[in-house]
Amino acid sequence: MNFFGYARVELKRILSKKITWIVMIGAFFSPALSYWLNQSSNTSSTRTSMYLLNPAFVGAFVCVFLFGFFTISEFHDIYKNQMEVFTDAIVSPTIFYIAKLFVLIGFAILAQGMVVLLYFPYTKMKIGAMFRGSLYFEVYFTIMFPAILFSILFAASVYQIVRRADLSFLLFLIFILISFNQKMQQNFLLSWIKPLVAVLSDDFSNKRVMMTVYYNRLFWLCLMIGFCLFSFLCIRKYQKGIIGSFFYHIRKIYLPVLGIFCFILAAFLYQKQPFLDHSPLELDYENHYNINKYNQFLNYSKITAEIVPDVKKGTLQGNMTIELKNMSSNEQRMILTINPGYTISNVKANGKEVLVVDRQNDDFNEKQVEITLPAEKEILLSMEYGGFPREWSITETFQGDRQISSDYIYLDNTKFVPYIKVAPAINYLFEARITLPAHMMAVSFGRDDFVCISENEDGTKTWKLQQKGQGIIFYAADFTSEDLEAAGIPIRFIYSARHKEIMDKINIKETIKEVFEYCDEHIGALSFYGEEGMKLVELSAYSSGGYAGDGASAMAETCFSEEGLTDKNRGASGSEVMAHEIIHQWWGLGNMFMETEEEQEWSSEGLTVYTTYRLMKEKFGEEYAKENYVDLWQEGADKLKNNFYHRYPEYLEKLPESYVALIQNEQRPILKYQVMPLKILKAEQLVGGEEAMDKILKKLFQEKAYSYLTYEDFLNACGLTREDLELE
Amino acid sequence: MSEILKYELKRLLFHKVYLILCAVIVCYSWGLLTRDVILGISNTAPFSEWSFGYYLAKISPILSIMLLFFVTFFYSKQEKEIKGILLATPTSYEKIVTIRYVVIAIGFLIQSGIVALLSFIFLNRFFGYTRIANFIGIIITVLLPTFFLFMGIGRMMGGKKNIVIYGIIMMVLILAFLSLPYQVELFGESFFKGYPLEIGGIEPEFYVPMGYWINRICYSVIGIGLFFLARRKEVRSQF
Repeated sequence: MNFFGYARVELKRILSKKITWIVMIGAFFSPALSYWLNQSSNTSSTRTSMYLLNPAFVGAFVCVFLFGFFTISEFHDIYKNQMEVFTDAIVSPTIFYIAKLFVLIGFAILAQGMVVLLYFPYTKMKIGAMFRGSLYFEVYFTIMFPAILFSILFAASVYQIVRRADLSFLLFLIFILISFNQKMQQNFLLSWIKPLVAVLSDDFSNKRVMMTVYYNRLFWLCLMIGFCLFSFLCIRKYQKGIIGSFFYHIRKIYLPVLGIFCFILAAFLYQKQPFLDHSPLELDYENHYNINKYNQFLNYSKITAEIVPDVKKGTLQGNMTIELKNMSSNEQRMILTINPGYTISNVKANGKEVLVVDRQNDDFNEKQVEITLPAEKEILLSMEYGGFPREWSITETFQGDRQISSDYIYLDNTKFVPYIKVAPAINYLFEARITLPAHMMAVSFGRDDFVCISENEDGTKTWKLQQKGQGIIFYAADFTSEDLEAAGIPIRFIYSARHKEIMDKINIKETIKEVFEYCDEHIGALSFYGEEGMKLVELSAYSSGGYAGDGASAMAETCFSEEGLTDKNRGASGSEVMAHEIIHQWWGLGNMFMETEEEQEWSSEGLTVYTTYRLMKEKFGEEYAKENYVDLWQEGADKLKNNFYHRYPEYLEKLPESYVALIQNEQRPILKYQVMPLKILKAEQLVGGEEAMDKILKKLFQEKAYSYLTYEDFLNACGLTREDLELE
Repeated sequence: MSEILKYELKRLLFHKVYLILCAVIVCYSWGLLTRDVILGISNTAPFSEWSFGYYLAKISPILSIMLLFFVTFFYSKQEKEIKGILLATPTSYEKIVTIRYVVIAIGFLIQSGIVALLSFIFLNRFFGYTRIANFIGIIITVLLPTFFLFMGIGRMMGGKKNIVIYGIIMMVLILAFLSLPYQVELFGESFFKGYPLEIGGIEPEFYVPMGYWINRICYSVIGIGLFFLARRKEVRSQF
């Protein structure tokens, strides 16, 4: 009998057992558990996450247990009755092991196939117009199925090594327990049961995050195959023990060689992962700003960049030319910062190659490149750059935001174009040209806009942007745009064409108008937006929340979810994040707030959160605002006040730096989003109520819209002192 | 008698599984100390009784699973097969079984000692804390009741089929993830994490309410009761 013959016999035997069918039924129902667990629908998530990602996660979790224990029980079946004496006489134990493994994997494929086919109609119905068939299959076959496969491979390998059901069972449990260790779960490569996918977008591409899932699966596959090959060496032969069998099998040299190769490959994949940079987790702002000093002997008059993204590979290639003036008569060193995933090449100054040093000093998702410029007055510097944009290491658990894919591109600052540490001349210009697939619309975050300058023969379009300053945030997608007017401001609302049906249904224009009109009335008329008006841009769910800038606000798609915007009882969700980001147009643009280490709590967030609270109080009533805002702020303030390290900062000095960073990073958002709004509320009560506070804020907005608004300014305007606002 | 004890002790303590489990305990405990306890539990100091109790409560399910696992050693198929030979020896079978449970208790004690020792090293290294005597009461109230309970359950169920013990191990895992009121919970996580917040105030003094005392006493009594009930059954079944 050949290998397939044994596999057929084994298949028939396993099929005839009750436990097989129990496992299959368990696997089939496992994704449905997520519907039960998520009964209170999460309005701040996407439908694809709720009805596709979560079921796949729960299915993976349950099936890992089911198939792991099933595998151990199946392998133990022969040995517990000491039948190996007979089976070994008929078939080689190695062949038998492989045949059994194949049959078990076959069952896993069958169970997975069953799940995928039978859940398809329900998932499609729930996700509605945003459903994408390819993503559906991709999620189940990269998240749920590999988890089952790895559990089978691990359980089978462990059993072959220890040859005891109880011990295999225990080691399998330990393996699972270790997988739930927080460190493992926060590492996108180590989390094998539940890969680090925080959310799946309904409206935009999920390519970037799915790339990390594929990479994770490849890493674990190498590891598991290596482990499995090692277990081949332990298959008991001729009634020998583990050592004797090991030395017998090791003569087949290809087994250990292949196993070691797999382990080395896994180690290589771990070490050389291309998705995250190597920025330290501790944020040292002082060092960051000091290290990036501008060269005072240089200035630039024009920067031109031509960019071509490769939407299939997720990479970017660009050429940049800079017109520089060297005001000294010496060679000058110029620093430029660039995303750590990019490399710079072919750097020429006035046509001659110059010395380039890549410092490889990742920090704040940038690295520095040092260029030595010749001692010439006028310099035309040209260079090529490109690569795969790496995300910041601190965003490991929420990857997928910045990406290049066929239906969504989001790149900001040094991911789009290198940033030169040189001041501009009096008349200066930044010009960028980007070539995109024809269906994509290019949008910049800020006053200036991309203009389509040519439709190319290869089905692409070239877009051009001219602006002052190098900083740029760039989006491209299958956007649609609508013009509306609120509080006398023309607004260009840019969102995914996929979301149009829902936008119309939830009457989004009215909601936007409401926020603008409230702020206009209570804070003052907005003045800093471009000639074309203001831009509101919908981003993918990976952006979690949103941000605002000069003449533009960007918000994640979750702010526009049908559930979030239509459920009056759940205002503290999508619609309020949207309102918050629009309110940032009043508080926090440009240099209005300067964040300092000494006064971390004073930022644009305090006044923005307070204004959002006031809007919601007007809209939903006092009780609602208290429950969803004031009580939460108080909770945060109490948490901070009671925190051990807040009370005894001297103990922080005793801790290693990484722990200090962890604790401070935890405290920072509480200070900004909860403590400061509570202080502003206290100020409101001390100055005589809401109307009096509105007058103060109006005055501050008019006076400080174009300069720094410090905490001192706020206190002076209120006629209060720091001590007055100290929380009890 | 002491020869048998020595032999059984050697069998357990030098068993590769026991050594692996000790290594697992060390890694898990250190991870817990440097990840959770270092931040201080429920706004208390990392070296407070509350934080230490929480640490033990988190380790307790693992120690319990290991204890149950040791019980399965003595009720394995091979052990059952040699029962006939043991019955034929001059030493009574009951004595041998008692020795085996003493060995399990020593094994558990050693592992608990490792857990406590690690926490003392941690507190000393990071915070220079040396008043370890404060924690002895907590070690007893957290670990002893679960020890009694699982010894009782283990002896009661192990006599039947080991698969039942595996089922109980699964139950322990599920219980470890469930958040129950402190009056009924098994391991004490809710108590050490929730009660200081319930008392309120900053850095509340360590205090054990009546409900938690009753909880610990009940589980201990149930465990001891099951243990001796199982013993009686075993003795009867020999005749």
